[in-house]
Amino acid sequence: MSRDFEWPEFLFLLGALRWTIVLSLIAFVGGGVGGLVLAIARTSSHAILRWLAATYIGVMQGTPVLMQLFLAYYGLAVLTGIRIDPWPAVTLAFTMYAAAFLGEIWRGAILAIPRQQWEAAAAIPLAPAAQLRYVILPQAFRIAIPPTVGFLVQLIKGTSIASIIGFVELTRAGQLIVNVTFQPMVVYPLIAVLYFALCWPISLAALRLERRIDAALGIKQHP
Amino acid sequence: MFPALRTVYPALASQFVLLMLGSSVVAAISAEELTAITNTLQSTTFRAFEFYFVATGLYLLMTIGMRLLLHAIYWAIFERSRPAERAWSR
Repeated sequence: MSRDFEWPEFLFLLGALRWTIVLSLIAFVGGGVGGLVLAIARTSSHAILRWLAATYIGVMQGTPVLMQLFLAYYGLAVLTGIRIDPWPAVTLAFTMYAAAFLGEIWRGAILAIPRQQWEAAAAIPLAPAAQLRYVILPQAFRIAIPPTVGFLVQLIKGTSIASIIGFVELTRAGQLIVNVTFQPMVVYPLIAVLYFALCWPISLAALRLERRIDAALGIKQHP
Repeated sequence: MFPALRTVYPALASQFVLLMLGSSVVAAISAEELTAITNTLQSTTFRAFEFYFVATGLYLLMTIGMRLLLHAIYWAIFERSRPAERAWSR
């Protein structure tokens, strides 16, 4: 005799959705800090910094998230000598993963600013750090919004992979519910709907933000 | 030749690489590919970190190989026969 899919099961899924959100937030904020450092290092005038950042990004973008997750999980276990909780492993892995991708996205946004803007800022004259802070980054910010939000949505959906090492977020909770209800064709579509309900408003909000910045800068709207 | 294709080619190439990396997820429904075999091996030997480290290295090699191949295809299609156009675009 198995359980049916009813309110308690649905509430269990909603409770697990919270951990998907928390994990995505930590990864996005931590990855954002790391990504900013990487993007600046990647566009700096020091060859060593550029090379270090490029190598890090190359390795992180050249290996599957799943492998990074396993390496963080078992790597931390090897380092500490005990079998650890999935929490630190998944947050570490997703933060490092997000840093690499955001770093590369923002490097593109920085490079998209015409060189004349750097020259104009240097002519005022601003110090290199101030050129970046007051002239380049504000302009790069507008360019970076669509790909950054696109990546955030990918990241939220990507956290479902954390279920494989036993981290109970939305997908893992869904598997647990399927195991007791035997109704995968009810549970998994519902989970897909929950992910959609999480990601779609973010895309809409980003669109509104773009429009507002464009309006403030007097840029013509796209149809 | 195919200006639109030339423009999207780098993005498309990255997407192919990401697709290859994403294929590791099919191990979750027990399709027998690199990740699934690694899972099996580590569960029989209990040398999890070592096996995943090697598998990660293999994925990295595949990525590098794929990028080189895609670069070569790009060069063969868009740059080989058009030295003049390349000089102009710089």
